Amino acid sequence: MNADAIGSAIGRRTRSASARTSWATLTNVHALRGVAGVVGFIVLWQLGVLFHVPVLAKVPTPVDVAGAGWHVLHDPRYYVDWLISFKRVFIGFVLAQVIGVPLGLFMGWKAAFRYLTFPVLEVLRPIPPLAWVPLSILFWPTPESSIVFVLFLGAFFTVLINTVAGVRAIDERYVRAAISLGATPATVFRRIILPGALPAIGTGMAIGIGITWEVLVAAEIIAGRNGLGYLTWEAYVAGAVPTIIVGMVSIGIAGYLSSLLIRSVVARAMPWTRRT
Amino acid sequence: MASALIPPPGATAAGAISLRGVRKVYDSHGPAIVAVDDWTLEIASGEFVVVVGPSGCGKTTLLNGIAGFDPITGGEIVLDGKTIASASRSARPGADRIVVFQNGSLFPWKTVVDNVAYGPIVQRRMSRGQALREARSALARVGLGDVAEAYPRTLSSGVQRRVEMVRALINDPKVLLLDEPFRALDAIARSVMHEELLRLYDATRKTVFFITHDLDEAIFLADRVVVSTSRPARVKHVLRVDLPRPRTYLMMASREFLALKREVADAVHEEAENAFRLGEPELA
Repeated sequence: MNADAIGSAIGRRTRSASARTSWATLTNVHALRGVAGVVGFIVLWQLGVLFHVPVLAKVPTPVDVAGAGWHVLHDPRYYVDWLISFKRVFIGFVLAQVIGVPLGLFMGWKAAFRYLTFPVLEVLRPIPPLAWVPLSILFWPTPESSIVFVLFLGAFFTVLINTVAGVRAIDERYVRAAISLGATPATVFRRIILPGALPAIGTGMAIGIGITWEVLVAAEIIAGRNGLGYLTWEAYVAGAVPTIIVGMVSIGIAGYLSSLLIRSVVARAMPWTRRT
Repeated sequence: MASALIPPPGATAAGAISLRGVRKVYDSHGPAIVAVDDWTLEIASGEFVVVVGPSGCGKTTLLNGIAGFDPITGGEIVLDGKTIASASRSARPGADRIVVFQNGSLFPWKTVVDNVAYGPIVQRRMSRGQALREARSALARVGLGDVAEAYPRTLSSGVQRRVEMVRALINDPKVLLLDEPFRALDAIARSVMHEELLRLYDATRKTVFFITHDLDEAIFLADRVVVSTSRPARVKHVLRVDLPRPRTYLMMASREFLALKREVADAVHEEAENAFRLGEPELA
């Protein structure tokens, strides 16, 4: 699927969601199916545990988890964990965009610069963010900065690669048309390269935010003293199995909310991809 | 219709192009390929010239040379007495020679009116507000006022191409370079576009350099049809079309039109066979 198609799919979804009231969304047949899916999943889980389905035998039931969740919801530290994790993800993600997007645009635009930088980045890219954790702890002054750095890496290469690909996929016709109409190279960069690569950048962001949350848990386990990932780990250490699942579900919901946010921002930035 | 778009015919007696022994050799990948060789033609100011020839015969190479997108290897291209491209001088693209491309090149991320206002804005000829006003009124004059705020992808290919011509003409270029602009359109839309293009042409009398391999299109539009040989491209045959202007589609069934078509078809067919025998891959 090309970036444009993804962009327009994203645009369509957020548009239909924001165009209606929340009540209309609840009564929307697609939303109802989604709710039915969630309920069905929980029922299956409950039944699976009750009937001792092999893999699920030691898993707490949804009722146990809900009980633990109720308890956790009354603990103010839980909300602090949310805030802290969101803050880490936000900083790491934004830094990745601020550095990755301009670098990617420039790499895509100037072949000489791309040839210069590509080999280094291609060797660094396959190194999993978690493999950076030890070095990161050693070199960054605070645990906080090392966590943010690892999160940054998670999103950085994704957005970089997508941006480079987005620039290179821009049809030469647009560049030539702009030059023919009197645009200078700087104008071409700002008015053709940037908007032309935007759908791919949006795709990179949507994937990147997901990776950032994936990396968060491990980074917090290793270097953190708080956050949703640390909550999950702490529950494991304490043997509070239902709370582990509360932490996992919290991370899932946080990741989902983040991608919704990113998608709607991306769709807003690209009104031309909307279907009318 | 578009009379107020730009100065009336003859207001700027400019846009005479001399192609003198133009030669283009591609040798960056493997053996050298001579795409264009000793291509010579004088194009008068305000003349509508259509070049036809087999695919890959170097027509687009020639157009890119005039546009300034690609350097030429030999000969020279002169616009109004000024050499714009030669072996030693790389041409620079400029708003005096605007290209309308094969598959359309409206910027998808800009609305129609923003597309049309693009040239005046990036050339800093007008303020943004003024450019948008001009663009809107230019669109309204050719009956496109309703789509000014639409994004290109929501429009038919025919409307997109019309917008693209307005985007070019609003810059008052000396020359319009059209590279098979109607190739993607169906036959009916194409015939409407021909009449629209001729209306714009009659109103503005820009020099037009038009590439196609549709013979009907060539004769219907042109003052002169130039048949180019298969690679390397040379001028094989030049045919004057004396059908009166303004032209209507009914002329395509006239005896005179058919006689011209036969003459062009003979020349083109011979070249097509040569190209077929050579079996060379097409160049862009």
